[in-house]
Amino acid sequence: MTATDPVPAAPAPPAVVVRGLTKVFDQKVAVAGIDLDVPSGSFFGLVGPNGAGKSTTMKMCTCLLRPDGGTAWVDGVEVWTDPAEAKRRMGALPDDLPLFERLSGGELLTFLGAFRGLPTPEVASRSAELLEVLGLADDAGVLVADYSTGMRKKLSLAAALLHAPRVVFLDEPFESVDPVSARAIQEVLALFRSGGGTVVLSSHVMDTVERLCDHLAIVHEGRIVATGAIEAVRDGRRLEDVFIEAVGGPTSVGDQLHWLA
Amino acid sequence: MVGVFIRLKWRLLRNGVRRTRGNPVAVIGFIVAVIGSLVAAVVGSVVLVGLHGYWDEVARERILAVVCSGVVVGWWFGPFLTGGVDETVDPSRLVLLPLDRRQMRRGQIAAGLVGLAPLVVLTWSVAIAVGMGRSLVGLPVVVAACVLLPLAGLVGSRALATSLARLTRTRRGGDVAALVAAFGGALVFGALQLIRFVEPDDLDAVVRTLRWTPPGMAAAALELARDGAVLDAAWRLVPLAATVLVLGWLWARQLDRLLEDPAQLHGVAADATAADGMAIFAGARRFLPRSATGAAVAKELVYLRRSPGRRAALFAGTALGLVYVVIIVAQGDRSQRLAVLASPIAMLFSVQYASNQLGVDPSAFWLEVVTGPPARARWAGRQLLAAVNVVAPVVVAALAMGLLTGGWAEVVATLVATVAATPAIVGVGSLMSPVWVTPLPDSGNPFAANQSAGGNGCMAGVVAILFVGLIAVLVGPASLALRWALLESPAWAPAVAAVVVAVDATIWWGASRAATALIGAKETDVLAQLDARLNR
Repeated sequence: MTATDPVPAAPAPPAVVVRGLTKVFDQKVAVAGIDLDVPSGSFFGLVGPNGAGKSTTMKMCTCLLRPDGGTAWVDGVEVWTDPAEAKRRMGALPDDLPLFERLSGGELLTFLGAFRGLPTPEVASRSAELLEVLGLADDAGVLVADYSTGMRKKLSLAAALLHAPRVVFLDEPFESVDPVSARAIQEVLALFRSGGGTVVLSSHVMDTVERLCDHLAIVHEGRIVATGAIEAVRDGRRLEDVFIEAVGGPTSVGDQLHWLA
Repeated sequence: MVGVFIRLKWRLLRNGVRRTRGNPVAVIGFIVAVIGSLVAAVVGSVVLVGLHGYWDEVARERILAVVCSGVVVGWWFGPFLTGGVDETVDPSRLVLLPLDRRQMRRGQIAAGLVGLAPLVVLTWSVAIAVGMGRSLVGLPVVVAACVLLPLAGLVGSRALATSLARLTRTRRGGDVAALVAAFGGALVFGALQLIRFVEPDDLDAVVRTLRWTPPGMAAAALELARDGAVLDAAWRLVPLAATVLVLGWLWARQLDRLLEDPAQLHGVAADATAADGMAIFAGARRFLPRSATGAAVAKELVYLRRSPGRRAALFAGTALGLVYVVIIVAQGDRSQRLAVLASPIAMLFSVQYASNQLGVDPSAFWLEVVTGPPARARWAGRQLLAAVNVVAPVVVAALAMGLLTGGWAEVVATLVATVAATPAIVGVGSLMSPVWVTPLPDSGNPFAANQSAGGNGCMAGVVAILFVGLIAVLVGPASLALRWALLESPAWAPAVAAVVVAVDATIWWGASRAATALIGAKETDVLAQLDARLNR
């Protein structure tokens, strides 16, 4: 390199850094010292079988569950040292957590926008756009209690994106969502990424992860068993095959369940 | 199938107890509930076995009338007072099972007989049978009465819960349901208080009235059967048997409707005001600041209008408080002035909204955690709700006492002192809230009112009592001084009022700041206590 050569840009620091994250419930180790780097601007899939520790990891990254050990940084902010700043930079869609049932969808977004300190006109315009894009505009005045599971999921996504965070954590965002809505969600997330946002998504639907994500980590029994760019992890194979190999094959039916045949 | 329901209920109870592990508050609550039930069962049984010969005829008559009526009416409304309605009663959980209606009813009745409170009632029923079963000829009637009494209580409770579940589908229905539960609860509570305070001789009038009711007639039937007057006794059991049949029919009818449309159990119909999605700052709320604090207050005002749970709590707290004040005033020779001045005691039953501010809307607390609102917004809405629940019962009780006694000067003094003390009360409540948090259900569906599981309801009561003691020490003297000044020395009233307001405002300010610091440190612990799903 000569003095006249342009200096290459330094790689962007990871959007999410996790070091030694641990959680134990009673005597069951749910997360066993996870280390993770989520590249900035990536669509990162956190995959694993049921009970692997994906949701617990996400909760610890989003200030919903205090870890027993280790820590996490979101957009350079240590989550458990400066949670207020971390929350400003991230949005979260936990799996199946209740909302304020007796607010309408529109009211809920207004309320949360105000809680985040956004100006009311800004909240109104952002809410209207999000509800429109997510197909909830006609139901903005309906009480959340009367929303279907899919509608609640979309409303929660709108709430997670309302303040234009740098990173969003989405726990099973496509579960219970119809294909049309799923497409709308994907478009919203693509737009979010195009602005430099990072999406961390947990799922056990390999097709979804393979189609959407550019990086992933496979979690099994509270540990990361594989991580990296999705092409590198797949290494030319189907993601489902890689996943099953990483977490162990399915229990063989053998001569059981013969009464079903 | 009956056995399956019993095992299901037993397992639900056992798992509820298992979940208290690691939660000292719930463990204490559970232990208190167990000890209380055992004491009630043993003491009650000793008294009732004593019917065999220990008590004289007058005492026997009183005991039977009160116990028989108490068992039935207490079982009807007790679960709503304690939040003890269990999941086995909820038809929506069973609707996919291939159970016919008969199996469902039998199973639910059997499941209803499993638990601490049913254990107490069944023990008492056996004790009544032992105490009153002196004549072989009359024994069948005694046994029939002892079976009918808990059955009437249980079937009535099921009928009420199922009817309320259907009613709460609409806002108007929700209010009716809340009123039924609140005033029924007040009735039971008032009766219990009367028994505690009234002299035995004063009970005769009550007993004479009770003996015209089906449970009271069953009590008379027990006495007649004891003396061998079988036919007379049997006739007196007919009204109670008819009550069981009518309540059973009502329950079956409501249950059938719920099974045909289980969606009736969930959700509340959207109201017209929600048509404008951005309406959180609409109507009277448009004057609120467009800030996090304004939004928190607006949300609580919206919830006061729409949430059957909130309104039920407010109605129940107000009704129970009024009954309590009336009972206290009815004791002994109280002057008019004291009658009105006793009305702040009415806040006793809704004060848990002040001392357990984080327990309201427990399941949605995560939204606040991930949003990270400004400190002031955390408490503004909660303190407003607490203030409403503190002030409303006192206003109703003071006005009622004013109407009864004509002591309007005392009414004014009481209301001024209460309003002045309210900021301090809710501020101290905010400070206590992160320390002792108990999730309160927010549902118009009575099947969802299961906060008593694991001793939570009991512990919430204990914490509320501690809170009342604390505010009596912190706020009581200033409040009494203000009332004294207003009534006895009006010239001093402005100066005393200024000092009292300053003292109460200082307590509110200091306690709120301390609460803010505390919630910052304990946020995730509170969240884990409020929503168990986050902690697994």
